[in-house]
Amino acid sequence: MSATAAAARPVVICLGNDLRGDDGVALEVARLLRPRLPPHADLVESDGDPTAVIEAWTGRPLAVVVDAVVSAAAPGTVHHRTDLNVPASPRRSSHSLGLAEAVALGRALNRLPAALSFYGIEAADLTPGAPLTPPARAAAAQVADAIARALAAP
Amino acid sequence: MTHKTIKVDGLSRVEGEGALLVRVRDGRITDLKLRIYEPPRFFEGLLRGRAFTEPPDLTARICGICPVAYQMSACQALESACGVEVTGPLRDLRLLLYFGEWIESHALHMFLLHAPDFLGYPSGVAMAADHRELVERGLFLKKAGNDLLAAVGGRAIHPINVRLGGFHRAPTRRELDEVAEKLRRARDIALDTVSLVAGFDFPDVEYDYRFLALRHPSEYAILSGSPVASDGLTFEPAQWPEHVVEEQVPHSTALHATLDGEPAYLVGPLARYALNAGKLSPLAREAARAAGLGDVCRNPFRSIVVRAVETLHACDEALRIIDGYAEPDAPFVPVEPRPAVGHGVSEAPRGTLYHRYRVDEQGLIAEADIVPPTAQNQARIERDLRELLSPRLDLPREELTHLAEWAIRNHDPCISCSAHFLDLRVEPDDDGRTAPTTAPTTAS
Repeated sequence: MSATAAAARPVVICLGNDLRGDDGVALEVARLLRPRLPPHADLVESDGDPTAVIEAWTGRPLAVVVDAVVSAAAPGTVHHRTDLNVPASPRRSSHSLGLAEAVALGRALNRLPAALSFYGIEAADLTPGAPLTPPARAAAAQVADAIARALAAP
Repeated sequence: MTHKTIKVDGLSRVEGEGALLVRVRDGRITDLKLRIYEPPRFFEGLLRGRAFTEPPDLTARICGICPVAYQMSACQALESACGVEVTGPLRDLRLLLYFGEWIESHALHMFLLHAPDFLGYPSGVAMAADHRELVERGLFLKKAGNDLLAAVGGRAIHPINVRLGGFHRAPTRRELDEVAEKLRRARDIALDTVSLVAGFDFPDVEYDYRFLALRHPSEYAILSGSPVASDGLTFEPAQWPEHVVEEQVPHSTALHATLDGEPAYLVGPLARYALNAGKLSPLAREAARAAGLGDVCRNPFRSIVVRAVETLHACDEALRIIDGYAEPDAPFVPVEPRPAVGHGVSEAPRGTLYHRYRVDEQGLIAEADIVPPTAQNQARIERDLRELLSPRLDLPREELTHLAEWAIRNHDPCISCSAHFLDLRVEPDDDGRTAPTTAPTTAS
């Protein structure tokens, strides 16, 4: 099911909701990254449905996942990690599980990417209908740049 | 005299926020409330003044799991007001879209939310470690449903291709053929799923349900039909307001509905099956027979079997429609506004969903009324819980909590799926013993 020609390509998975303020910051990363995406990589935007996330990264040599996070850090802080211990989602969401659960489910099903690079951008305002805050917008540009450079590296 | 209060706080992973409160005195339940405390969203208010073309897209946002149900009930209500009926290939495409939603919604509920109850796991993720093949099947089914939604609706969540009169663009034959390939395997999986879930152990209960569902002359009603009740009551969609009345209850921001003045009727899979089983596809009908469902199923724990049968029916019927699909001449028929009232009813995965709109002379929405399945089932779920828990109050706290969560989940209300993450508080009883207390979860 997962063995497709695309599966040998790295994938960038941007999770979020444009209608909830900084929750859409990863989708801003996707918008900035798309014109700079190397031809050997794929880009997926998702609302975070773990089954879609697992589908997107199954069999990939590398999955770069971007999401908004809420912790005690300053707004716009970029958290980057390359292990699979993704923090649990701070949001309570409808019927859905978070990225941490997607990792757990992917592990149970032996459907994790060979490598995972996670960028979490600290959200400041998750109000429905709010625009991206300036710190989140600045962080989005920084993360898009980092991913573009990493993917372009030989 | 002893009394205790059981609180199940903060139902998470829910479409809405809810909790369960049970008060027990001298071994009897004195109070039981399924509380829904999500702030009201006032959708009906915000629709007023919008163009008559907008409710299908706006109301789709009410639910991320069943947006098609909102789109279809809204379209049919507004088309009815405007004197238009969508028929032929365009109606078939609507059925296809709706079947996609049923498949993905039922697959999610059966495999990731409900099956763990039967197999003894705290969550679908925990279950996956020991039942990888089972969860893979569920994910495949869900993906097949999502792919069908995307092929017809433009995307899997909150489809963007629906409009009054039909669609912005009709899918090509080739696009549907690609989905059909996946649906054929999904149909095999759904068939296996019926026998698999029929083999689960079910608590031995039956309730005297008053069922309500749509009935269609030739279909297992999903997109349209006339509401019928198991006591013989039949009426047309336009008569809905005469029969179904919503009222406020103090403990819930969701309204409670009554049917001809009586609360606690049931909509959803058990109701549809009881009232329409003879119209299932032959394959689904045979699978239901082999699963021992009988003509009527009154055990809510066996609703998972009915969902499996409905999933099989949806795959089977979707394939039948795709096999006969010819691209329509135009993706929609014109719909011109006129001042009138229109009613639209369809069967969301969780049950009957009613919309009513009044369109004014300018083509704007003057009134809107939406009756979702969860509001209709809430009182009945409370009654299920009361009947289930009353003879079992001596069970250990954890067991009682799990049983309550499971019973809520039987009806897959949009507050069902979270029950795995619930905490339970048992407050001190009168003789001073203090039972274990845990704080509510905050997030997941």
